[in-house]
Amino acid sequence: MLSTVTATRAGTSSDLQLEPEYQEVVKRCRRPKPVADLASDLDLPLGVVRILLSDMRENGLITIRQPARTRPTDPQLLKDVADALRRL
Amino acid sequence: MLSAGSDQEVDTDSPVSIKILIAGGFGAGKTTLVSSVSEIKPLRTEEMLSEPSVLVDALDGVEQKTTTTVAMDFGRITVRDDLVVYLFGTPGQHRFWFMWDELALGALGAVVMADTRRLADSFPSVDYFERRGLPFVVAVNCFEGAKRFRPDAVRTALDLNPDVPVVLCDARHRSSSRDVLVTLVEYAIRLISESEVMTPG
Repeated sequence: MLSTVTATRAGTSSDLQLEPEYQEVVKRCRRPKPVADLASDLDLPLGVVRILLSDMRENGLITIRQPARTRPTDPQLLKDVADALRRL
Repeated sequence: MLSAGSDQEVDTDSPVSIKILIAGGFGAGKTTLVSSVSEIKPLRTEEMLSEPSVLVDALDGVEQKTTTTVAMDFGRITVRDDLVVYLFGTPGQHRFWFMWDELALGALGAVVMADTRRLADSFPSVDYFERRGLPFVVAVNCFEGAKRFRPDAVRTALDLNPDVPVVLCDARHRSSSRDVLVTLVEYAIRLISESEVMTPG
C-alpha cells in the first residue's frame, strides 16, 4: 500500500494520448506517490488501482518502488517522528 | 542493493513513509483517533468474503468467490518533506486479517484501541501483534458513561506483557490521540535500543 508510483518520461510525455484513468495517474505521480494515497485521491478501491498500475507498468508509463519491508529501526528517524508528533 | 532485472526496486530516494496501524473492534474509536490527529482520507479496499460467510450466503448458481468493498481509516501526517507518517485503521475481526498481513509488513507499530465495555473485542488484535512481534500500545478509549478502568486492570484483563504501554485516552481530542502515538513511537525506540544492547555488533 505504501509502494511508491512514479510516472516515467514516456508516461508524462504521452500524457494527452492516454486513456483518462491513465492520465489521472500520470498527473498525480510526477513525484513519487504511495499507492494508498493514489487510491484515495482517485476514489477507487485499492484492488482496482493495483490492476490499473500493473497495466501501466507493463506499458512503461510508471515505475513502482517497494517500501522498506522491515520495521524502521533508525533511532534518529524515530526521534524525529516523535518530536513532530509532539508538536501536533 | 537493487535486484537485477526487476523494476520493483527498493526505495531509497522517495520520502520515507512510516506506517502505524490502528486496530480494535467496531466502535472502539479508530476513526475518531485517526481523524483527530491527521488529515483523514477515504480509502476503499475489497474484501474477499471468508469461506464460512460464503457458505452462509451461498445461493445456487452464485459465483463462489465473493468480494465486497470495505472502507478503511487512512490518515497522513507530514513530518517534513521527506518524512510522512501514515495511519491505517482496520477492523479487528479475523476476516480482515488478509489486510493486516500486508499492513503489518514494515510497520513501525500499532495502537490497539480498547473499549472497556467490550474489552474482549481487543483480544484478536493483541494476539495478532504479539504473534507478529510488532510493537503495540493499548489505548483505552474513555467513553462517556463507561466505567473508568485503571490501566493496570486493563493490562491484567488482556494478559499483556509488563512492558506493553497501556494508556487512557479520549480519542476525540487531538492532544490525547497525539500522546498515544508518541507513546508508541517512544516504546518502539526503547525496544530498538534494548535489542541493540542485547545483540552487540
